[in-house]
Amino acid sequence: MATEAGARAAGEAAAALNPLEQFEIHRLLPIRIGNIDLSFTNSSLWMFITIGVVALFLLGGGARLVPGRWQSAKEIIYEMMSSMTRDMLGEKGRPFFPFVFALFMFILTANMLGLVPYSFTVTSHIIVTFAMALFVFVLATVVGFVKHGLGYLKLFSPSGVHWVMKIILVPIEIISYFTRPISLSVRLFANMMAGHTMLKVFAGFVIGLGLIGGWAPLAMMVALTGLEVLVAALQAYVFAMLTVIYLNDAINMDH
Amino acid sequence: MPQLDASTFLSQIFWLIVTFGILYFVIVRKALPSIGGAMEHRRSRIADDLDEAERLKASAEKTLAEYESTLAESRARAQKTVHEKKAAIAAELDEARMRIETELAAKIARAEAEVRASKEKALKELSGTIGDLTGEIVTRISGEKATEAELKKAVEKVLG
Repeated sequence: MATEAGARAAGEAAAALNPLEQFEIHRLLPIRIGNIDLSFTNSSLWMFITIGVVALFLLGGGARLVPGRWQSAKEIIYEMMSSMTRDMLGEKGRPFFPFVFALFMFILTANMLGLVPYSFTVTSHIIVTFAMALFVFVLATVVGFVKHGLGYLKLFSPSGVHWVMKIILVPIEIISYFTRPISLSVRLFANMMAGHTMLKVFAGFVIGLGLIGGWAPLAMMVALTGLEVLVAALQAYVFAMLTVIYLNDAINMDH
Repeated sequence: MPQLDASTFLSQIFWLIVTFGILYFVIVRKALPSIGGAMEHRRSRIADDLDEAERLKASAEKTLAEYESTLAESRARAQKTVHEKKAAIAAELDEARMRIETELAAKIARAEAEVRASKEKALKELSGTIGDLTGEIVTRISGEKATEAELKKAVEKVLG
């Protein structure tokens, strides 16, 4: 009995030092519908925390004539996303603005919350980022075909190019088009996972070196955390930006 | 790597759709109208204020123009008055001088006429006296008595 408990404790200690342990998914509330596992997990919990924080941020802060700091922060993000969609998509892109805005806010907040110790990073899972990227891809493709019909296929055939070149270019265009959801999702997932793993590795060093030598990796962690804040914001922006670019291809086709 | 555990995929996708759906709904229905409304309200308020400022500026400029035109008008009127007065005074002066000059001319003419009359009278008297004297002299020297006509003729010949 005692040895079993000791072994479990040792296993837990080893798991705590494992940099990948933070990405594990625990079922908090098992839900099963037939064969499908839809359990409420720590990932689901953090998704709800994420949208809660976003809603709190967006609905609080007031809507005054002379904005305070909080309201200014909201309006800066609003203006940034709004001008991005307006500049690239024009008036026809107006209906997509709320989606791009929601996407940016969701990813940004999930990334930022992931930096809080003991939290879970929703966007560090490839399936989550891939689901979002795939949705963007399908949305852009559907919009493209709805707006231009079969003419949307001209996207793969750059204009003003000799037909010999087209033999080479068209397959490249098709491949690059279909790899969009993969590059989009892997970019975000890899950035999040790498950053958080690195932070965990350095945190392990701090524990390992103790009070005497632990200061050096701790200083490194502080610097890395700053970098991770930048990456979190940047990746959210990149994701939103690429979404708008793909939608621009679909709406305006100025390829 | 926990990310590759496919048994969790469906659950994550399901809850992602649920949470993102809720978030999208909240953003479209509540957040964006509130933020955008506040910004729009501010923009229109600023535009209104700018319009108001523009209006006030225009009215100030109008007042200034009115003031300047009034000023110019008054100045022109003052100049005209000065001009008219100057002309009137000059005319009066001219008239006075003309009157004095004509008076003087008349006086001079009268005086000249008087002088001439006196001179003629004196000459006439003189010629009479000279005639008598000449007759006397002729009589005394030659013993002949010259006639009055001869004397007169001779005197006139000498005096011109």
